[in-house]
Amino acid sequence: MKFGLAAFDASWDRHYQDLSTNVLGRQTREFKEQLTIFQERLVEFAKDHNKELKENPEFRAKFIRMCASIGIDPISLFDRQRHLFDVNDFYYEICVKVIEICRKTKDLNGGVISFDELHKGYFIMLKVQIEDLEKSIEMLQSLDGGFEVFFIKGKKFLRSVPNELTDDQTKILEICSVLGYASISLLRVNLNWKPFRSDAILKEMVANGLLWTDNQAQGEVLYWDPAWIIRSSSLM
Amino acid sequence: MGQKGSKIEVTKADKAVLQLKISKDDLHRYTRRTELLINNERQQLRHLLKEDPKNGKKNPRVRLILKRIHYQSHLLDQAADQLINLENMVATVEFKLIEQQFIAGLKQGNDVLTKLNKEFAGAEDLLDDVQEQIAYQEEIDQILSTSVVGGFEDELDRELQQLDQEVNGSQNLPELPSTEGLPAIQDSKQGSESVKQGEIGEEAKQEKAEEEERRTEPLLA
Amino acid sequence: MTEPQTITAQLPPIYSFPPLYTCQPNALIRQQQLDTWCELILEFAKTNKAWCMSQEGTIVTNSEQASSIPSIFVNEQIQRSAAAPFIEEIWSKMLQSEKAIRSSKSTYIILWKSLDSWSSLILQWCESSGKLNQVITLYELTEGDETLDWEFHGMDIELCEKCLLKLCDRGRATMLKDQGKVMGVKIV
Repeated sequence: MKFGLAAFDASWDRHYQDLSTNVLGRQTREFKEQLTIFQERLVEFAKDHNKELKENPEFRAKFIRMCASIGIDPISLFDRQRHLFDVNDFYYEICVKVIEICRKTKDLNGGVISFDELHKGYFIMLKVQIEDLEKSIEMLQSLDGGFEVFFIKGKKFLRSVPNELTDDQTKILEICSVLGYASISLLRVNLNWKPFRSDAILKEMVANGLLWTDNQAQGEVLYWDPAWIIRSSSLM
Repeated sequence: MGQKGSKIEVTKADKAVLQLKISKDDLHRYTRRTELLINNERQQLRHLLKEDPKNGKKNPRVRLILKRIHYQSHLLDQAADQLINLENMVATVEFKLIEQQFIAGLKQGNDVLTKLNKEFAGAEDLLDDVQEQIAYQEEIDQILSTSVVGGFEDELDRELQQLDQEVNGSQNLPELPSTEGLPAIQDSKQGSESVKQGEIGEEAKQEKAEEEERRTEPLLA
Repeated sequence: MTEPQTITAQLPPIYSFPPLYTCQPNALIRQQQLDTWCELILEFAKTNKAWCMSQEGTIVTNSEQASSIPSIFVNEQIQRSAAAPFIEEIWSKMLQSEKAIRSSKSTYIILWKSLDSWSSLILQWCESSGKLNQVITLYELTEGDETLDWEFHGMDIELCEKCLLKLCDRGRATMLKDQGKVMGVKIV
């Protein structure tokens, strides 16, 4: 039992703390609600004034910038059925994102990224369908900016560095898509390549940043495809 | 190390508090260690009793551990007491320091107050003086206001007259030449009009020049 | 204590990428690789609340008992480990990017928060708990019961001293020594 001033300490402190957490919590909740309401209104506004937005590029640019600053990703504003804004804008936005991602990951994967990784790693949270992504990348190719789509075992990949992949390199990446790596013996068994040929191509791909070397495996050096980084997490 | 550059003063009391706190920390460390030790031994004890529930109680090792636990917790109690003592000591020292500051503050306030009061001693004389000055000022004002009235009126009259002269003078001057020249101008105008219809002769030219000369006269005047 | 297995489980997937443990010959990729290692070390230290790490990549604690936590540079699951020269390169990158500093015990102090933000946090504690203008011991700051809820509780004493020196530079603190050793501090 405490007397005097000390008697206030414990219980009152707790009361005040409860009160402050309550108040803060309520405020945050209110702000969040307000923000969602505001966001909804903005989207509605965009729908109502679709025509103006479509016709006036300056207005459109400002509107998109404002949306971005309060946490609405411009991509989420597009509605494919209703053709909100110009439908091309939607694809342009995706294109910009794709270029950003390619630039960011270039040093890690040598400028080669799978559509899968692009979609699962970046676009799925923006509710962008794989079809939209594919269409955007189609548009990217027409830019002549060195973007190229190629297939490895039926899977689509995007190459964002100008040097073109040779057939041999593509074949090696195909092998990598199975186990994550390629090696001289693996290439001999699967493609019947001579070791010196494999060695030269593998070394070149390492120099280009397409493969990472791993000399701790038993027997021989393994050459890993960085695209495997995302995959290896699912194996754990 | 920290003394360079910083102007924070380290007093003797600070050093004393530091010493107290260092011993407090040592005690704190000791308590933690002992608590850990006791916990470990308790676990050991439990383990031993579980292993051998029948003879466990008679096992001399068990008894030894129990004794040790008791001894350690006795020490722990002592340490806790000492810790509280030290904490009290620190608190008292810190409170005394604040008291010291409080006294110093009071003293300073008192000094300032007495000094201020001293300055008020001359206030009455000052007030008298001020009143006197105000009365004198009022007197001067009155004198000035009465003496000004007559002189001011004269000045106004003079100024009005001057203005009148200026205004009337300027009105008279331009009138003189215009009354003299009026008929002449009318004649010449008729003449010049008739000439315009025919060729412009030497006479007309001269007349025109004369007319112009005349016209300029009032302007020149 | 945390289980040895779970200790590296929270690390991003690249930790399980086998070539990460081999020094990459391509210079551009090696830079990326070193950056990745730096991030992994910071993440590792932060989740395990490790203040100090040895050259070999194990966590160094104040208690004498050898830690059972394996080195970050060894990944049992994929049977890979970084070689000593490569580890040396990683540490020099850590030092260079000011994410770690060498301590006197030839270990590395990991700065998952910068010195400045740590010192600000300490200052914040002093302000909010009414410790300004009082003598505080370093032990009180890092081990005392009053800082239990604060992130810097348990902080390495050497790191603590370095943070306080920052406050001294800012004119907000002065160190108090006892027998030649910094024992306390007075923050205003």
